[in-house]
Amino acid sequence: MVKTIRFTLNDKPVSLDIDEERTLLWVLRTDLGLTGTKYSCGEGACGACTVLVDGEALPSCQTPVGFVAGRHVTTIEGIGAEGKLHPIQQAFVHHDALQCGFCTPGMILKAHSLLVSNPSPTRTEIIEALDNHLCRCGAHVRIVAAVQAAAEMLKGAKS
Amino acid sequence: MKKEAPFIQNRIETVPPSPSMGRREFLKRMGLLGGGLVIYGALEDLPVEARTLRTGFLGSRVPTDFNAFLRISPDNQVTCFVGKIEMGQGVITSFAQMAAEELDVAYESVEMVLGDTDLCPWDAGTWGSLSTRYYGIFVKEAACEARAVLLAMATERLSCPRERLSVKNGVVSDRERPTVRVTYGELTAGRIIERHLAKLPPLKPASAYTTSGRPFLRRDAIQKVLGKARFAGDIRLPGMVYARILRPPAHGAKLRRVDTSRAETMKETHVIRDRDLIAVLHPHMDGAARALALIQADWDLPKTGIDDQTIFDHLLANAPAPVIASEAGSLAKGEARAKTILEETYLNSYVGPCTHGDPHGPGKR
Repeated sequence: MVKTIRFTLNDKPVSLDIDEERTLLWVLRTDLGLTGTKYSCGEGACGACTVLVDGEALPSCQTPVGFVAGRHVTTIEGIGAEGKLHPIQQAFVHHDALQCGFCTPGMILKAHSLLVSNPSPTRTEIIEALDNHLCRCGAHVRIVAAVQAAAEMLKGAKS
Repeated sequence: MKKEAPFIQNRIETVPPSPSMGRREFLKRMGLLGGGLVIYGALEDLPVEARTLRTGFLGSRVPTDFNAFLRISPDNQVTCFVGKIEMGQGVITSFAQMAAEELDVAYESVEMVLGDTDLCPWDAGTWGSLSTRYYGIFVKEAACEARAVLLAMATERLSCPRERLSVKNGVVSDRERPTVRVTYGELTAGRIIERHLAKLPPLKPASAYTTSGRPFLRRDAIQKVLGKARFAGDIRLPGMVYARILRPPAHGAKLRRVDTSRAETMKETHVIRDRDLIAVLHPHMDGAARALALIQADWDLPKTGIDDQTIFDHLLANAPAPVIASEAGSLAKGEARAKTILEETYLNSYVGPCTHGDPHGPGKR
């Protein structure tokens, strides 16, 4: 059913007259032009489409747009900018934690939600948190190292 | 500390696309881009092995006269044209290092144009871990040749014997008169200069490397962590629609009955039917997915008698005859030289290919 859906997207208000059953992933990618959120398995199994909804990492391919009404949605475009990368983004760049980069936005956002809830995760906790995020290039070891480095950077920034 | 260089994603849109590009057309396009020195090599010059890998299965159908690689513009920027694409293996960075090394220019001054069919030389494809080993050599040779041509031009321009000239960061200077200098860009001055040396000067020895072998950040990393890197699936064109295909539940399944009427009532939806192939088109991918879910299909499944244990024998018995793509050396001789010979058969469960959307994107099984 077409409804007016209002939510906050990357700190800016958004209002859409839209079928509330439509998939958040495709509303972001096509209606709003934010293609950093990736479509891959379409079944919520690979993590490429991960976004933050009120800080929680969710697969946007399984999330109806109606669900985010009144909530805060953060996509990869919302956490850093050129010349002003988020510490997790910096860590991914400097640890070469990516090759093709297709899983990267989802990985970074999942790491973001992990580090908010657990600022000092162990290596095992990082691996568990990213367990449902697939990387076909094989950058896993570097991804884990990047998240560890980002955790240190974020703690340093706070103290 | 690693240095950063910009990832140049949007090339200049001054050249119209055309189905094929020969040497003349390429030079015309280089002229439109502002001219400069163009270095090219011919496929005939290559050793057989490298040529086979460049042309793949297409063999003699590949244009052979022309493999342009480099352009040096008046502002001393180097553009390197490569038929390979960047898919995460890192060639957008490593080819630039190779070119900078042999040209003696700053790594940051090399712009890479990869896989642009309007500008780049023909290539069989980006696969098989061949880019660095079999394409890198062209990039290096082209850069080496360009450097030699530029030094020859500088000899005339500076009235200085060749052996007194040295190059650093794209500036040629006279060792005995350091103020006597000229940049590569000043030498080419926007003209189209086409050269092909009869004899290539030797490439630098690895011991003399200053750019290769040094760590640089991936040129595309920042765009990728920001979600700004564009993948094929991110392209949207005016009037574009998305397709979802009705997949049979098994290989060889036959469509017995299908009802597409509910999907057809959905707004903006087109149902396509070509015998057993059914697809839905919709302006939104999720719309196409919803339309697809409205299709009711009954399939007749083939009785194969194949299970997870017998699949391997089945595949061997039904495999098409092998095709020899290229042949060199002798297996028997190689085997005779082996110290140890191990022979074993390894079987995994049957796994389908998983490419989906992006060549290296995680995908569905």
